[in-house]
Order: sequence, then structure tokens, then C-alpha cells
Amino acid sequence: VSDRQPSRWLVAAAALAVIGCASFFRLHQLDAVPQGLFIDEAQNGLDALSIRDGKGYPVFVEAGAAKERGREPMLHYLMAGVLRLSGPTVMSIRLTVALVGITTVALLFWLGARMFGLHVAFVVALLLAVSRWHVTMSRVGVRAVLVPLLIVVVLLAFQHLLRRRTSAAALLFGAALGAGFYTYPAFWIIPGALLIVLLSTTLRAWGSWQRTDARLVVVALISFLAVTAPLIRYAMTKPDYFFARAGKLSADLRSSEDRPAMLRDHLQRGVFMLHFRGDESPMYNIPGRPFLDPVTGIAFVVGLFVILEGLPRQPVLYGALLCFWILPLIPGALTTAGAWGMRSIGSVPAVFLIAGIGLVRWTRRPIPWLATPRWVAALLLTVALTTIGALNYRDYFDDWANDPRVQGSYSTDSVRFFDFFADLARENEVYLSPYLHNSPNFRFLAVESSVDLPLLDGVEDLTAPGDSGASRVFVSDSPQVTGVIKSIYPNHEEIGRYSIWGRSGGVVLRVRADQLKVALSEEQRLEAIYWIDRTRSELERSTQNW
Amino acid sequence: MLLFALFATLAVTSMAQKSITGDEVTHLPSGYTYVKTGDFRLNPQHPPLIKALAGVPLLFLDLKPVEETIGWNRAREWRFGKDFLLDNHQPIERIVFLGRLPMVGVGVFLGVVLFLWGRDLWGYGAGLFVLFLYCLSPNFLAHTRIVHTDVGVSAFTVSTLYLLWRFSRSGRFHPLLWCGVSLGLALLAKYSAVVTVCIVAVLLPWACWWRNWTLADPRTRALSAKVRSFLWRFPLAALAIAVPAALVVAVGFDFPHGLQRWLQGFNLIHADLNPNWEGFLWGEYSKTGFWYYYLLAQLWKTPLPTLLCFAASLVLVSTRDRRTTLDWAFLLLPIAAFHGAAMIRSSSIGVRHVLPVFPFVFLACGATARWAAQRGLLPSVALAAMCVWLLAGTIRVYPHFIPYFNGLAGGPDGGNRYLDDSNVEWGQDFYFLRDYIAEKNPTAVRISAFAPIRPEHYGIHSETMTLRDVVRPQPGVTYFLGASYLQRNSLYDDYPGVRFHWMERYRPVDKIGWSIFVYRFTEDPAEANDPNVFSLPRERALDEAIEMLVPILSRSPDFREARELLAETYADRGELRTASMQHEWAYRDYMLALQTAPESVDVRARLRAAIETLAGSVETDASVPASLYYREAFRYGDEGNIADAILAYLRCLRRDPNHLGAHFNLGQVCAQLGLIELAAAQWNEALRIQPDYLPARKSLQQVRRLGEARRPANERP
Repeated sequence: VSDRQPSRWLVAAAALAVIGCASFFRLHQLDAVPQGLFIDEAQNGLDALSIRDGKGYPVFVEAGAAKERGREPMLHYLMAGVLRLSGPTVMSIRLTVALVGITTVALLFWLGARMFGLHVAFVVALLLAVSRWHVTMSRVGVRAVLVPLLIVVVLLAFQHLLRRRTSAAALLFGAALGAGFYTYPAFWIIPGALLIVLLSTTLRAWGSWQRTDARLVVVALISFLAVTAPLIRYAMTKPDYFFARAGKLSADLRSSEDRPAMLRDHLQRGVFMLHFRGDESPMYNIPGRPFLDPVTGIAFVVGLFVILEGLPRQPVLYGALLCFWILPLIPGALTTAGAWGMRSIGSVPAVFLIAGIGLVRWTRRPIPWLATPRWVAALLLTVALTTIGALNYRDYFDDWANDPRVQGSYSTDSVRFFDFFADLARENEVYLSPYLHNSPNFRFLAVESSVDLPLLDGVEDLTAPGDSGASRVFVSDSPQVTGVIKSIYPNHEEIGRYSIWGRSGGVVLRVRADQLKVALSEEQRLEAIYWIDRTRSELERSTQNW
Repeated sequence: MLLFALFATLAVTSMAQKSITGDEVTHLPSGYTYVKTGDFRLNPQHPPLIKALAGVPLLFLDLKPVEETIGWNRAREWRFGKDFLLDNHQPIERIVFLGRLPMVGVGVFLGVVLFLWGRDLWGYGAGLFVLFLYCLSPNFLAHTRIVHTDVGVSAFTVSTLYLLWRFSRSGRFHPLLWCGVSLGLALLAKYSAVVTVCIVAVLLPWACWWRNWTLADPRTRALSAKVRSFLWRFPLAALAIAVPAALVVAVGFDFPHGLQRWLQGFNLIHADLNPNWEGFLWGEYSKTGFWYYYLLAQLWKTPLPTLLCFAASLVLVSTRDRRTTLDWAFLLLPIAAFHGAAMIRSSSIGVRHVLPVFPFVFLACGATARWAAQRGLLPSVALAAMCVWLLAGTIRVYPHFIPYFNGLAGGPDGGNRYLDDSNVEWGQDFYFLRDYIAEKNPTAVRISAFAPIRPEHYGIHSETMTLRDVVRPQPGVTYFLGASYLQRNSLYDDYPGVRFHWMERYRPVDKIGWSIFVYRFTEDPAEANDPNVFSLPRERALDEAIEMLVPILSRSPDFREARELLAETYADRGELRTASMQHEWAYRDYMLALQTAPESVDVRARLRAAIETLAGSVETDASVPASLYYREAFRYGDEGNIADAILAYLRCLRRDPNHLGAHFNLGQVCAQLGLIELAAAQWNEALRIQPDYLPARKSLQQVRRLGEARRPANERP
């Protein structure tokens, strides 16, 4: 804890440094890393566009018949705002989450300063600012990144409430807690953690429990219910949508013959993901790599010991830290294996607070009984933070960004193919297969680039009754449709082949304008209708998850 | 004394129930040859002390001469060991039991040192607590009853550091001489004692300096005096340790060539390592091992009460005063050093490789005991509860100490999901297996487990498991699978990826000592609820077999046994589907079977029958004309997709039975598959529709000519 009140200039300089560092790690090469466009990002972008255009203001974003693809809407509303300001681009999608990430770092600095003083807060915020774990989540347009932000906001509001004990503070706290439910299901555990902290606070100060406190609890509860009321109403009217995702992800656990073993196993994986083995999925992690770099990892362990040591003296504060580390691991533990980093993202604030405390303690006392002079501590801290920054920069911008598995996960090919088809569309009429046309990536990219790539939808798309003068390009990933086109136009030109999202055998065929038929024979027409219809209906069934 | 008695009783009584484990096959006979002949040719990759100790009781037995034992002349330790144990004048049980007895003595010696150190560090009560943790440690109980080097190196490492610690306290030199002797013994126990040497190299100068620092004599408080004192004290202390240690090694390992032999052996440490070995940790495999393997192994294999006490002690470290710094260094440095060495080596075999860490954990726990005793009733009661918890946990697993795991891993029951090898299965349960078979009397027994000597030598008659058993377990057979084998990444060195997927698929009906899992299967739905069998419907068995075989074959296309089995499994599934009127699926299975094993006559016959059945039953869309099916078939044929082409031709013929092109092309495709009779029938049909259809006529003639050419000359007209 800080010994004296720091000057405002010092606080401002520290905040600027932290925000600058967080901004660099989140905005640097944002247009290039990660390459490609993740399908969920594209879908979020489309939903945000729909909000921006006033087509609807959902309480819960649905995805057609695919119930388990429903999502909480807070990110979409934020994204809609950014899209309105900066246009419908992939960069705008990612800018939204990057801003969320930067705000989280700034607010964690604030929270840390209130809880442990400026020194610790500065270190904590810097650790989060450069953390590969949080940086990865702050550069991909998915809603999980909101969870740490809302947790920090809730904790700030909670602390404000404990200090001021006013109705306004209670109102604010309840609203912040309620707003968290519009972020991501990983937030659901947070009221539980808060309840534990609140109960322990109350039990310790049972004597000073007053009627005012009861009133504040009621106000906070009312505020919470008022904010969450639309979502509660939605959940009650459409529980099959609201709980579908959680239900699907926890299906393995529910059907397991040995649930305690699976839960225990998952929980340990959540604990050990920091130091030993993180997610295997390249989406949010270098496969198998722990989420913390070695220095932060050691700092975290030191921090844990500091907390355990200090627990008897400050049971509520340190107990809360442990609580906010362990409990947010539960969503990861309850769900299907993998993506621990994303589903346990609620533990981010506590993890970095603990690591920050550990790092400060370690630099002040590298050996427990040996206090170092201030300049030595500052030097050690600078070296440690620089090392951590360099390690995380290398891990994210070199190792992770250039990993071919990451490029596969982010559908780099989809962007490449879209650009290729968009280029072709300048001089040709390009008709896409339903598989590509209906994909969120192509739909969003089409909006971004304002290129019209129509769907190969019927037999009339195969003929040219008018005289457009443009050659026609057919993009097909159905062997049958390809066969039909080839049989109608034996003199076609095969421009290329592609495979994407696990579907191989895609072909790009061009038919010159002068070869296009005005009408097809009855047999050709029949065959074309049959296969185009069948392919489309099969794909509609199979791509419900888009 | 009571604790020592408990320790010895648990060790000796459980020892008699456990069959010989992996390396004992070489360690025990080698040790006997050392003491009998003074010749150290066998098993040079481990130093001789512990093995020789094990060999001493065997001197009192009437055993056949070493020179007459197979493998002696060419120094083949495994051959020698097996012949020595199985073809001797004494039964193997007696030889192994007597050989193991001195190991318990080493364990007791370690207990004595631990008690003394714990008492000197934390007081009498805490010393007893340390001893309690040790005596009820499942890991030490597991390893102190087998002829292996891990307990030995732990014992002499602890005694070495205890004596060095005594020097740091008293400043007297005579403990150092004994420390040197003990270090020599540690080096003669196991090569990993080089870590002990490194620890001594760090702690000795520290202890010398510390001694100066704490001297009450005001004359030595000046820095120059301290430095002067250190400069004569340290070299002398180093010599006091090094000379006896070197002498012990030189004398104990074939004097006067002991040091040279020790170095030669040191270079052979990994001589018996299997090049195909892969480390297993928590569902992952690695040929290079895992750097954090031993950290997690220790976390899962240390009893939870011990872990909790240790964590509490670590918290106490940071609040201690500086006067105890060196004491804590004596406890924590060995833990860090042995784990550090294990991380660098990353052999990822068994927790026994960091067994020397455990005594220091117990010693550190003494701090918690002392703290609790000083804090009054509640902490003392909590400590007592920990003791009861530990006692209950250890007694519960008796006599199966090797596969012990704590609650974090789900106890011994869940251990092999986390670790394998000597952590769970080391060949220790063949006596129990023999008794189990004698009691249950199963009709057919198949075993796939780590067996240092063949099960027949225990009177167990079993068949060897084949690939068929691995992927398609047979009803009526009782399978006994080693806990490690269930997690083995590849059961065949030449064909990677062949492994049991039974843990995630099937429930064992029994477990023998938590190291051998018993499986029995039934296809009979009536037995589905019988806990003594696992219900595995035939269709599921076939599906899962295909699911396992396809990736195996894609990785090893030349694996003939797998190919034949896959074809057979497809065919069997086809038959099952035919019986349940799923004709199209059956047809596809037969097609896959034929593609997998094109030479199979039986599969071809079944495929033909399936096509004939489909011809009359294949489903069609009434809105689609025959010509569309025909074009579809044609296109499939162009792509080489014969299975779908045939189906499309059959659909075309269902819509238009007189479609000439479909009959002819179907015949062509059937001919490609070797279904000549079916092809001929289709061509004949084409000729019936259009008698002058030349292609069909030519194809028929060609087939007839081919048939004639294949007939023996004496049968030709």
C-alpha cells in the first residue's frame, strides 16, 4: 500500500503511460493482425450493422433457427456506434474491442490505485496492457472481452458504494452488475463472487450493520433488476434460445458418467492454464502455451504467497482477490474442453492484480527478509516489465500472428478469396455458391467493399437474355452444379480452384459473354433447376450455424 | 518406535503381496552378482550400492552359480535377470522377498535421519510429526519395498545435508567427515546424486560464511576477519567432505577403479531408454517430455494433508526472521534443485525421480507443526485432523501404494488419466491378478499389461491381445489391461496411433490394485444392466472399430492387419445393416470393404448381393426423370465416385427399367469392380433392349474371352 498520497501529475503521467502502452499493444497493426476474419466477428459485425441501420434493437441477438448461436447484445450496440462513426469495416469491428480492452486497462489502473496504491496499480495495469492473453481477446471482435471490463466496473462501483454508502452509489452498483449480464455468460458467476465478498464483509462488521445498509442493498437490488428486466423477460419467454448456448457447451459435463472427475479435471486445467498448458485452440492462444509469460507467472506465484500471508490481516480484500480468481474459472470448468482462456476470462482482473502485487513485492524484497533500496527496486521493476513487454510482444506479434494454424482459424482464405472475386467482379458478373454467399464473412465483406456478388440462385443466372456484354463467372463448390455448368458451357474457362471451411472441390468457371446462352434446352433447364435447388436447400440446412 | 514399526509393517506385509516390478528384474540379480563375485559387469547404468545391499540376503540362499546363468558371459542383464529369477534353486517369491528386505532397512534409516533433523529444527513434537508424514507417505511405502535406487539416494541425500546442517549449526568439523561418507554413499546409490553434490557445493560455502556471521566473538565481526576466517574454513570443509566421499566411491565400486567405473556408468545413464518412448501427462504425449511433469506429478501424488501443511510452511517462510535463513535454504534448495534437474532432463517417467524432494517437504511441514503447537488448541486440533486424514488415506490404499494419487487427481481410481508408467503400473499386481482369475475363472483371458516376466510364470494362462481385440473387443473374453497400457500412445512401434480408446469409451468391470483394469463385454441387450459386463451393442462396436481403424490406416497405409480388419468390419456392418433392411447403407459398407481390400472374394460376393437387392429397393424421387439420374451417374463416374455412380444408375433404372445407357454403363462399372456376372447381366439386358447394341456385345465377348483364358487348359472346349 502506498505510503503517501501521490501528486496529481504523477497519477496523470502513470495513467498516460499505461493507456499509451495498452493502446500500442491493441492498435498496432490492427488492420493486419490477426489476418483474416473470424466468422463470429463477421456475424457480430452484421448484427451491429443491423442495429446501426435501425432494423431492430434486440435484447438478445438471435441467429435464426440456430438457437445456440444467440448472443448477449452489449458488444453489438458498442460496435454499432463505432460502425456509425468509422464505417462498416473489419477494422471498425476490431477497433470496438480494442477500445474496450484499453478502457479495461485504464479502469483496472484506477481500481488498483484505490485498492493498493499507485505503485501497485501502475504495475498491474502495465501487466494487463501487455498481456498476450488480454491483447488477443482485445483484437478479435467477440464479446468475451467485455467481461473483464464489466467486472472492473462492478468492483469500482462496489468499492464506491462501500465508501460512500449512498443510494446513488447503490444505484450505480446495481446497474453495473445488471449491465454485466448483457456481455457474455462467463459473467453469470460474478454475482456469486460478490455475494461471498459481501457476506464476509457483513459478517466481519455485523455489529455496525445498520438499517442504512439494508436500504442500500434494496436499492442496489432494484437497480439490478431494473437493468436486467428486459433480459430476464427474454429469458423467460425464450428460455430455449437464452440458455441454448450454455446448455450445448455443458452437455459433455451433464452427460458424463463421472461428473466430479470431469469438473475437477477442468478446474485444474483452468488453474494450470496460466503457467503450464493453455488452450490448444489457436483461436485465442498459441496452442498449448500457458497464458502467462514466465516472469508474470512467477510474479503471480509470489503474489499468491503475499496474499496467503496477508490473508489473516486483510481477509476481505485478499479473500476477494482469491475469490475473483477462482470463481470465474467455473464457467470454463463447466463447459466443453477447450477455450479455457475465453470462458475463464473473468479471472483476468484478479490474476493481474495478484501478479502485480507479487511483482512489486518481489522487486522490493527479492529475498523475503532483504529490503532493496528504492533505486534497486525501480531498476528490477523496469527490467522485469521490459522483459514482460518484450516477451508478450514477441509471443503475440511474431509467434501467434505468424502461426499458420491461427491463419486457418481466422479464415484468412475467406478474405483472400473475397478480394479475388471482388476483383473479378469489376469486369465480370460473378455469381457465388450459396455456401460462400451466405457466409457471414462474405456478407460482411460485401458490405465493407460495396461489391455486389449475387447468389447463383436459379436457372436464369446461367443464361444471358440481355446484352450486358460482361463475361460471367460462376463460383461453385457443389460437384453437381459444377457439372451442370460444364455441360451447358463446354468451352468454359477454369480460372481457379478453392477449398474453404473444410469444404473442398470449389471451382471458379468463366464463360465469355458471347458464349452465354439465351435459353437452355428443356433437359438442361430441368437438370440445372434440380441441382441448384438441391444444393441450396442442403446448404441452408447445413449452414444454419453461420 | 511405534511409527517405525508401523512403517516397517506396512512395507513388509505389502511387499509380500506384490510381484516383481520393472527394473527389479535386473537390479536384484545384478546386486547378487556384485556381492557374490565382485564383478560389476551387469547393469552399469546404475551405481551398485543399493543393488548390492539387496544381494546380501541372497548369499544365504542356495542359488545356482552365477557363471551358469544365461546372459552372464555376454553381460546381458535382462536375460541374466530372468534366468536367475525363474530358473534357480529357489522360487522367485523367496528370492524377491529376501532381496527387498534390506530396502526397508534403508527406509527406516531415512526415517531416523528425518526424525533427528525435524527434532533439531523444530522440536521433539514437530520431529515426530515429520516422521509421521514420512512413515505414512504412500510414495515412500511404495518404493521402500522394492529393489530400486530412489529411496537409497533420498536417504543418503537427506543424511548428507543433515550432517552439513549440523556443521552449520555447531561449526565443528567432524560432522563433515560423516557428511562426506554419506555423500559418497549417495553417489553409490544413484547417479542423480550429482544434484546432491551441487546442493552441497552451494550450501557448504554458505554454511562456512554463516558460521562466521553468527559467531559471538567480537573480533570476528569485522569483515576482514570474516573473510580471513572463511578463506581457511571453506577449503578445509570442502576437503573434509570431498576426500571421504571420493574414498567411499573408490572403495565401494571395484577398488581401485571405483571413480573411473563411476564415471563410465554415469555416461550410460540413458543406455536402457526405449527410443520409441513417449512421455504421458494429462492426456498429452511427448517424445521430449514435459518440463512441468514432476511439479504436477508431485502435486497429484503427495497426500493432500502433506500438501496443505507444506503450503502453510511456505507462507511461514516469508514471515520468518533472518536467523533461520540458512535452515530454510537447507530445506528449500534441495526441492528446487531436484525439480530443476528434472525440468532440464524432462524424462517424464515417474514421480520416483523426484523422490528425494519428499523428505524436505516433510521437514518443511515441521514448521507448520511447531507453529500450530504454539498457537493453541484450534491449530493443534486442525493438525491432528490432518494426521487422521493422512492415516486414513494411506491405510485405505494398502497394499497398493504405487498407484496412489490424492484427491486432486480423483484418488488412485483416476490416477492413470494424469500419469502413467511407474506412477501407476510397474508390473506389481500379478499375484492379485492370479488370485482374481482363480476366483472368477473366466473362460478366455487376454492380457495387455506391463509384465517384467511373462504371466505364465505366475500360473496365469492367457492369450496375447491382437489388433482385433484393441479395436473390436470380443464378447465373452475377459481382458486385463494395464493402467499404463490403456494410455499408451502406440502399442506398435512400427505403426503409430494404435492405442486403446477404452478409458473414454468403456467402463471397466473391475480394477485390480488400481493398476490392472478388467473389462468384459456383452452384445446381449438383456445383460445391459449387469455390472459385471459392459454392454457393447454390435453396431456400436463396429462403428467404433471403423472410427479407430480409419485414422490408423491413413497414418500407416502398409499396415496389412489393420486393412484386413477394416474391410472385415465394413463387411460385418454391411451384414448387420442388411439384416435391419438398411440396404443402401449396407451397400456402401460393402463398397468401402471392397475398396479397402480389393482382393477379397467374400466381400465381392456380398457386394453383388447388396447391389441386386438395391436394384429392386432403391429409393427415387418421383419428380426427377430417369435422364437426370443417368447424367448424375455419369458425372459421378467421371469423378471416380463409383459407389454413387452405381446408386444413380440403379435409380435411373428404377425410373426407367429399359434405359439402355444405364444398363450398359452399370455393367461397365460393375466390371471395374470385378463383379463380372453382374456386369454380364446388365449387358445382356442392354442387348435385350437393343439387340444390335455393339458396345454391349463387344464387352460380353471380351468377358467371355477373359473367362476362357483364365480356365485351366484341360477344361477349355
